[in-house]
Amino acid sequence: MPIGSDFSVDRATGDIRHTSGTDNYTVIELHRWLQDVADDASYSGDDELDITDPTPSERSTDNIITLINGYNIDDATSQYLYDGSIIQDDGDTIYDGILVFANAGMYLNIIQNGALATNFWTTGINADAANGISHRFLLKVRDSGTDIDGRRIIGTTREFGFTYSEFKINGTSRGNNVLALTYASDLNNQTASGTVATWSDITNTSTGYNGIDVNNDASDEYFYSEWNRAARSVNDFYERMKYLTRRGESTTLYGIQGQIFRGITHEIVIDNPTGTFDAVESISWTGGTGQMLAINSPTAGTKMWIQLLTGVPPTNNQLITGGSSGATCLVNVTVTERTISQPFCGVSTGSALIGAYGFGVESTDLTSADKVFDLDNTQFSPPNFQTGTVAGLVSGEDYVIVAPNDGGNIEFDQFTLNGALTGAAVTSVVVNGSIPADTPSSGTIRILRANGVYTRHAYTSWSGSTFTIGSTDFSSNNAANGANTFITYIDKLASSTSESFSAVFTAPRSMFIRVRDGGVTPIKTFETTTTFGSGGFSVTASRISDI
Amino acid sequence: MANVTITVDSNHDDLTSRAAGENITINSGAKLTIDSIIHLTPRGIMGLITCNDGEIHIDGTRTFEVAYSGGSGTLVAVGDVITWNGGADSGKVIQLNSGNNVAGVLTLTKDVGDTTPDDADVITDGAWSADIDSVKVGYLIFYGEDQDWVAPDAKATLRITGDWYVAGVGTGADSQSITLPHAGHQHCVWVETGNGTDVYEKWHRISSAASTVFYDSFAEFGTHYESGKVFQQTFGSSTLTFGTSTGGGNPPNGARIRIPNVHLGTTTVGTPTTEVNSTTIGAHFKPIADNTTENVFLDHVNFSSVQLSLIQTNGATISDSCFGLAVANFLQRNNSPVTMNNVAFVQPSVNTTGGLAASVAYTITDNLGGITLTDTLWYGGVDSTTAGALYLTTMANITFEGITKVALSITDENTSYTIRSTQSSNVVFNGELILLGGGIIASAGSNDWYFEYLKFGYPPNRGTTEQNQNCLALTGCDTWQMDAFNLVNGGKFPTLGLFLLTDCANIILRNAGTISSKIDGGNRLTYIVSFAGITQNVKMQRLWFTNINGQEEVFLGVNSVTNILIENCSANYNSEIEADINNTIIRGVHAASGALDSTSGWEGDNNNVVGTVFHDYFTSNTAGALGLLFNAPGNVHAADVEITAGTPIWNGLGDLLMRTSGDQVIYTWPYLIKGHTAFQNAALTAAGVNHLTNHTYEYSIRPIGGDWSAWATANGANLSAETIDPAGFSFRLRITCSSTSTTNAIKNLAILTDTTLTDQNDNLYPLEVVPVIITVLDVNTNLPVENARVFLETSPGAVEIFNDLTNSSGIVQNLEYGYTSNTSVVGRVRKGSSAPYYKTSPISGTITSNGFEVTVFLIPDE
Repeated sequence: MPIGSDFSVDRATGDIRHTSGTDNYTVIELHRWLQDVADDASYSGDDELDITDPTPSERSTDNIITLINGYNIDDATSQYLYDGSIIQDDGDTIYDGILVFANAGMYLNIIQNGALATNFWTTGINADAANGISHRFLLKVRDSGTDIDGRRIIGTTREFGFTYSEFKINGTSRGNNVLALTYASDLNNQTASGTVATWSDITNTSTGYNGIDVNNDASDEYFYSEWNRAARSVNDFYERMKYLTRRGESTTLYGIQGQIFRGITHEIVIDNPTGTFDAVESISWTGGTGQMLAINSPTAGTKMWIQLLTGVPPTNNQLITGGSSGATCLVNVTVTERTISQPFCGVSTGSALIGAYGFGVESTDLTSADKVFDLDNTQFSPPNFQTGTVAGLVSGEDYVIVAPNDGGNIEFDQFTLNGALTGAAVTSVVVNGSIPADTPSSGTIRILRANGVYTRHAYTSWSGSTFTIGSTDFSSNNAANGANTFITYIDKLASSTSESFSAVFTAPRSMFIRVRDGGVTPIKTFETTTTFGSGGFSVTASRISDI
Repeated sequence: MANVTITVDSNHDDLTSRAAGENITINSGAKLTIDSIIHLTPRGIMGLITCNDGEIHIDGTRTFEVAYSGGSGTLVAVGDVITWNGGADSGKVIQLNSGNNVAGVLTLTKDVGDTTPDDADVITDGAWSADIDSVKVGYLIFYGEDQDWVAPDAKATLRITGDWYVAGVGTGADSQSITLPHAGHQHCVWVETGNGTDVYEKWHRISSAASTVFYDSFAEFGTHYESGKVFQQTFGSSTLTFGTSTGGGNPPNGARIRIPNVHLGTTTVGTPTTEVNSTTIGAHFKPIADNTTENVFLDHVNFSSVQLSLIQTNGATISDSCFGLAVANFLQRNNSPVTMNNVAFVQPSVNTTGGLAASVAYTITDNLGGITLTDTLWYGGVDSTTAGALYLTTMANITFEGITKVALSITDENTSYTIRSTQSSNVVFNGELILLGGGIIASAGSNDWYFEYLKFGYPPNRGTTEQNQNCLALTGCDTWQMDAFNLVNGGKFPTLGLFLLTDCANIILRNAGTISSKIDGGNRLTYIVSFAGITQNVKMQRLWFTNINGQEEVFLGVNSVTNILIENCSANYNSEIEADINNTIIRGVHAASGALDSTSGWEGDNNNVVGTVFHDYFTSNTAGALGLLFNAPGNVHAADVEITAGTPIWNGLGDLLMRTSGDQVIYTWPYLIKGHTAFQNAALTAAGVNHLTNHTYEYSIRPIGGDWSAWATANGANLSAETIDPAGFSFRLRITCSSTSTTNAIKNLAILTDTTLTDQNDNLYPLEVVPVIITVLDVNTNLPVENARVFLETSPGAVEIFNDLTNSSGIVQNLEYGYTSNTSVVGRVRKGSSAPYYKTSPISGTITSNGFEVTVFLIPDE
């Protein structure tokens, strides 16, 4: 239909209105139509515009049209226009063009001024699939002389089963503003939504600032969440996170509807705190609002982490006020924008999680394949503990030793002593070189004594080049400087049918294994070599009677 | 006794050493005051006054005429001092008019005090006293010898001041007579238009005895101011006689009749109270000598038997006065301002029993300074072709204001004109100019004349001998404009015509009568305008006449005349229009109701006429037509007459020859056709050979602000179905030869229309047209932009001027925009309907008397 059939012009009010039809028109088509009728000798029908009327529109480009002399469209009419901007009311009202590059069918949402904008475009409008364009429409970005949230918008797609993505425009410009969004089937998100909806055992056990010792180093790392994936796989967990933030999800996370929850956008160094901040609460400052997701101390915080909702981030010395607590603090110079992830939890590899910034999971729910990033944006993963097992043993009869292999024998000179051991109460054994990382945190070593015997010593810990052993008298049978020393990963009389040790796998290590039973029912000595690899090892001793 | 020289301010009565006829010399800036009737004093009549340095002041402003009664004692004498107001005010007796010591009338001049005597006062000189019965402005007579006073330079001033003297009161009766306070010549009296109206008209003197040269009978004048209102007075008699209600007019009952109270006359020492009525100009007292440079102030004075000369004065200011004799070229070489207000010039006429001598016409010449004459009356004439009542020659810059009446006094109606002009330019008649008894004849060099309202005609009982008179008979004149015209009230037209233009250029004649009240030609006028010689650029606009003599050709012309516009004019509906004139548009005229090419229609046999093609006219109060003459279109209509196929030709005899099938011409009327309300359901009419059978006629119409309609066959059914706006529409006619013939010829054509007088009157063609041209160019290429919509309207007012598309030259124009005053306009140019598109561009400016022409550059919008 010609545009004139669908639109009307009221010369008295300047109202340009969509009156019928479902066709949409570009802004240049609107302009051309207005100019077309405006140069008519006299108007007809409901297009009350002709040469006697003031000029209705001006074209800056084909994508920037200004309605002048009081001519105007309303929001409803704007929904039938696309491919550019309409400026009116002497610039007090602006509809900017939004052009979305995405795969066809993508359901788009626009977050504007902290909420979802009225959505009339859904899975596509004025698409141009050949050029990868899924949507083209106008969005009001300025009203009554004031920019709507500084004309900032975020385009999001959070369609369950598909990749989530978002694209931020920090202030639309006149013409078309591009949103480029990824929209593809998410192979790690193939579980039916209804199914995932039932996985309510996945919970966030701790909102706000909390510490988790992810890497098992007895020192906590800090996150703004601590999710418990219960017995679900890590991918299940991932799908649940997507579910909680999918399109249409109004259940809140951290006080924000799931469908617009994005995670931490800014880390803010603060000082001069007053009062007690809630663990999570809304905050505001001159020029913006946000949702605080974490603060490192409710009363004496030095950092807080927020999701920016409206406006611009606070700047140095701006006062931040808690919305519910009333607590305040000042920005202390540094505001760091953090990269958000879509979904907010991070990425699933199917078997592991690559967590988003600050996103925390219970340490017990992590594996060494998982990676998380604490609020300092430092990556952490749990250690790769592997087990070396020698089975086929007879408890109480078989003595087992597992030591580093050196050509089919024990590598006696795995270390050499760095200093003779001569004291009567030696607790530290210092070796030359560094003790390898795959050394069990506690275990046994053997040291060549002056009498030629490699004596067994239990160590309780090690660090660097030093093993800590229980107090031992070396004064009468000391160990010379440079004496051989080696780790025995298992060095004991079997107390069950198998013995094992646990160590952090870092690289394959060749092991020498020896099993002997010289007792009542002796066996031939069993010796073998194996490798402590990424899966540890498991060796079954062959007990051949030596009777 | 001896001549007197004064060097200090002096009252003439105190110059006791001077005797009658003796002279006075004024030096050293002295002022001589004359406030007595000097011939009644011991000083006697005046001789020569030589004013080397000073002022002569004849003062009638303090003169009062007192009627008294109940007097006792010895009557006062002229020159005696008398008092009134209990002695607080005093004056001197200057005349004992009548009566004796008991009752009578005397005239005094107030000298002391500021209280005018009134009927509550007692007047006395101590020895005589009387009650005052009434007091009015008195009459001051000043007689001088036949002398030309001398005033060698601008250090001299002649000042005469006075007031109105009521000489009588009208009775309303025919032939009323009043007695004047003198027996000289009263050239003009001011008669109130009714009892107490305080509005006065100037009635002038006419010859008072049988004459074969001058009009001397009241019956030869009308009774309206424009055609009559005259009186007779015989020189030497103090009796003034008015005419009748059928000739000359009679003063209304109760109307005051007044005259200036200062009277100047020529007498002699021997007979000091008898004015000289000589037949020679040189025998008269002339207080303003020729070629003086003195300053002249004349107010309320009647130059009875005194010659007026304003030659080379250092400016003259004259008001409420009347004059008779004048020297040749009486207003000459005044390069300082001369102003007159309410002044009458009534030329003496030869009269065997009492008139003054025939003289020359009142001639104004060699003036370059500003002359402003307000409410003046000129009556006279010279029986020759070299002068009229008023003769303007070799001068410039004169403005007449108010009501100017120029009446011819002599009976030679064929050769005499009221105004004759040679080489006189910048002559402006604001207000009304009444030409009675003759028109204006002007010759080459008489340029730049303007008439705001011209009235012309003959008194009702005259005009029996004239044969050659025109209202305007111009030869070689340039730039004349008449903004309104009418027949003088109670008058009639000559038998020839009104406007004869020979070798003239840039003439505008407009506004005579109205469409609903046409001026009755009295079945006398044979033409309204006749063009002759090489005349060009003439506009005749809204000249509404009827009852023209027979079916004469009312707009005469020859093919040496060019660029004529005749619009909204009328003759008889059955008058023939003979448009043997080049480049002529005739539109909205009432005439030519007869058949084409007949003596009551449009003359078709135009020989070698170029550019006279288009017209529209009305043949009755309800019918009209659009018409074509098939003269060669010439350059002026090169764009309006377009040969679109074949080889049509014009044969120079008013025929369009299209002799080969397919020959085609489109005629586009070059103006907005106004006043027609519909097309008649009638076939197109034309003359010629095979003009209907071998040709097809199609038309297209464009309403104001609209677009051209599709071509349609020009038959009655189609045409009558069209809606046309009497405010105007554009029209074009496409003529195609449909059958080859060597005899094909179309001569004259008409498409019949309907009309009403109201629609015509509401949609007259504009009087002043100026070009309004908008040229639209591409800002980048400077090439014309075609089909851009141009809108232009007045601001304020929002009267639409343009709402049109540009042509291939990027132009929208109206070469005939009706201009009335400078008009601000605003508008815009748009092109948004088809590529290339352009941004709207505004238009703003002012339509001036030069029109409005602007180039609009459009910025591409793509």
